[in-house]
Amino acid sequence: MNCAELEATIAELPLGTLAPEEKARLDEHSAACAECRASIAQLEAAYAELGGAGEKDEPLPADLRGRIVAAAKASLAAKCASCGTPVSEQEAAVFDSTTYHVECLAKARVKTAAPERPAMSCTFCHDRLTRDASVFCATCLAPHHDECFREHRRCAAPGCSESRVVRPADPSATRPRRFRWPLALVAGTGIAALSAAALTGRSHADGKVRIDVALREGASALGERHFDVALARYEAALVVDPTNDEARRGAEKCHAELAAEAAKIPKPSSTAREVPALLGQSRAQVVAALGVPSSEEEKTSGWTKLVYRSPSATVYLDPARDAVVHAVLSEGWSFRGVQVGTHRAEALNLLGVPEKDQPDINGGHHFVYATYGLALSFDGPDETISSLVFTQKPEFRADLNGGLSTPVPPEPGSQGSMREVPSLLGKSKAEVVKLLGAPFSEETLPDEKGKGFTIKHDWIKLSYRKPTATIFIDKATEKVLLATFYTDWSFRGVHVGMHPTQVMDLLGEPDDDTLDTSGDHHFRYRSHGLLLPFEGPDKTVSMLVINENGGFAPDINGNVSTPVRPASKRVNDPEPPKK
Amino acid sequence: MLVEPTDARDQDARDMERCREGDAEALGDLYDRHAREVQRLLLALRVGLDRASLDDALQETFLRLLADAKRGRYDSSRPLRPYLLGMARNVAVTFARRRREAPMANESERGDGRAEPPELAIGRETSSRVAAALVALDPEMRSLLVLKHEHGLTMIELAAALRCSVPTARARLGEAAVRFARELRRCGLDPKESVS
Repeated sequence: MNCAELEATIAELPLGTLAPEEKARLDEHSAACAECRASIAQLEAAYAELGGAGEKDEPLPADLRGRIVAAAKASLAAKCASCGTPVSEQEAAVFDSTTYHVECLAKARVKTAAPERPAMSCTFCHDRLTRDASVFCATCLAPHHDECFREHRRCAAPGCSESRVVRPADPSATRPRRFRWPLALVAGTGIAALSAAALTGRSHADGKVRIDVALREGASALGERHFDVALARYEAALVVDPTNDEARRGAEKCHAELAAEAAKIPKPSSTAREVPALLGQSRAQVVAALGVPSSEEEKTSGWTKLVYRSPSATVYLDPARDAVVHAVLSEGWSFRGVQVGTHRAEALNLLGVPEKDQPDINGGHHFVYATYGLALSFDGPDETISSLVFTQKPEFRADLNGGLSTPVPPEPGSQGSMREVPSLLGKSKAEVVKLLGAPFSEETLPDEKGKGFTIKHDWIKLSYRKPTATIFIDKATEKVLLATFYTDWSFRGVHVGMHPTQVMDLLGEPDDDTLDTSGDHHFRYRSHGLLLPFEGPDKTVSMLVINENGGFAPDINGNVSTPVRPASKRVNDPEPPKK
Repeated sequence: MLVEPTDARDQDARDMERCREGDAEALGDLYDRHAREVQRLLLALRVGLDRASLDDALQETFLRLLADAKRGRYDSSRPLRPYLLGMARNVAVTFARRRREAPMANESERGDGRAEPPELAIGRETSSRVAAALVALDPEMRSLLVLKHEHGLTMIELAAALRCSVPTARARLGEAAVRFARELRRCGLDPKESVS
């Protein structure tokens, strides 16, 4: 055993973790090796030094214990989801699995009337900032107090020296709030129930007074046109006294007004334009479908950006392939009924369950319909779609805040984009090379020698990488017999990882559906010469096989997972002459 | 080797149970018994914590302990000390990562886990070289040596602190020891010199 082999053993020796036999071996070696003895001594001295090499102990701060206990108490206390302060058991009201103060829940009308805005602080003085008093940097939109910006004379954000500001528009000029009738009813009913519970919890002696309070508050809310709150008050009063006429009339009026409000909700535009097939389309096809773009520019990424107005759309073309790789469509576009402003539940109804539902840390949902190359982000407060994004291999990535924001376009020049499987069956090698480029490798399959026979493979195998494909060519006829395509290849929208139902959506019912012994389906589309095995734990397409005459052959497990390759010739070897 | 007395373990288990039931004062009692050792570990890990950060890390460690107790993640049949030290180690590593992104306060507090260049350490006292070699290790590896050597955790306790199996803990510790020995050589503590 040499010194190098004992390096790890020597290193561990001072820690006392060596097994006795290891230690004995080391002792035996070190007895004869001065260098290892020195190493051991050096290491032991270093470990002995280690205890003293640390930083000196510091006294524990006297108030730290109190701070920790206070922080623990604060973290243990239930907090009101509305005001954020601790809630005692006596004053807690739980609504929709969330704890509120009873008063805060009653004020929920504020939440339904106007979406909660995040608290802002001034970039310069870091003090709290209200929307009315704020101005925003014209370059980076960092919020400031008007006075702070004037005092600093430029934006206080690091790296920004903008001296101009923009101001929020007049709040009265903002778009009308979307009144959500079902939510209002649910919230109203919840508040009513709680209020009623609060009212009935009192003695009957002051019941009259409480009903009066509810009626007065209901009338007040009605006057302010907060119909959901007013309805809650009137219904609370009706729970206590079902015969109260004033409460009944008030509730009926509230119902009528709420119904009128609901009727005013702008319905998704029926004139929305249906999104044409864009991904993979050439520039000419895009222009034919969408018209001449209002602007066009070359991006530094090498892509061409086509911008359309009314309805607004941005289409990114990869000039190298002359194909659309990414498209963002805004209001005025519709994809199978789904458009900007469509609620998550409605999107589920229209497009079905997405292949992937990526939740973010804020509880938001991000749907990925890989079949359509569609990524939908429900990032508004009301869980509605903000834009339709079509992209190759759609996915959402975490942003700086840990949330998931916009779908990420594929890297320019990356192989993330799907490539359409060309028509190959019967093509010559030259044509294959013309269509797919030069292969990564080419080999003539060697003959397989068995006992007394030889299988002659008279075919050539062309292998492609990124995306992966394998093409088999008959050497005699020089025609393609079989081709297998893997990830990043697509045949009329069908690609690896698709579920059988999605395939049937795109290609229809298969001509043959073979089941193997594992219960896996194998679809064959004769007209396309296409075979699709659905394998793996999620039973999805494992590869695309183009094979005119073949089928699936049972493998050694009895499954039919392997597509039949072109028949090879089996030749019996001549028997050796007998001696 | 430090061995936790059984009554102390029982007391820890009782306090953790109280924490689970929402008694914040129980965390104060745990703090009284373990804060000194946790602070010693945080300092020994040499992740460049200043006074305020040290207090923050200490507080974070105990609040994480409380959160684990509340969620029922802590198994009261196991000793608390390695669990808590493992938690402190994780907090320290987290703080070190945060510091990695922040600009360094000064060169002596290199929070990115890498030591000052060995050539600077050469020529200083042995203790400085040993410290430099230790700081040159990745904070996670450094913590293994500190927990084993300075806090005297057994392999079972070390495995509990790292939330892994004993063979894994042992493999990681072995790797840390080899790296430390190599860093010592890089920092000028070469046994060949002493032989010649």
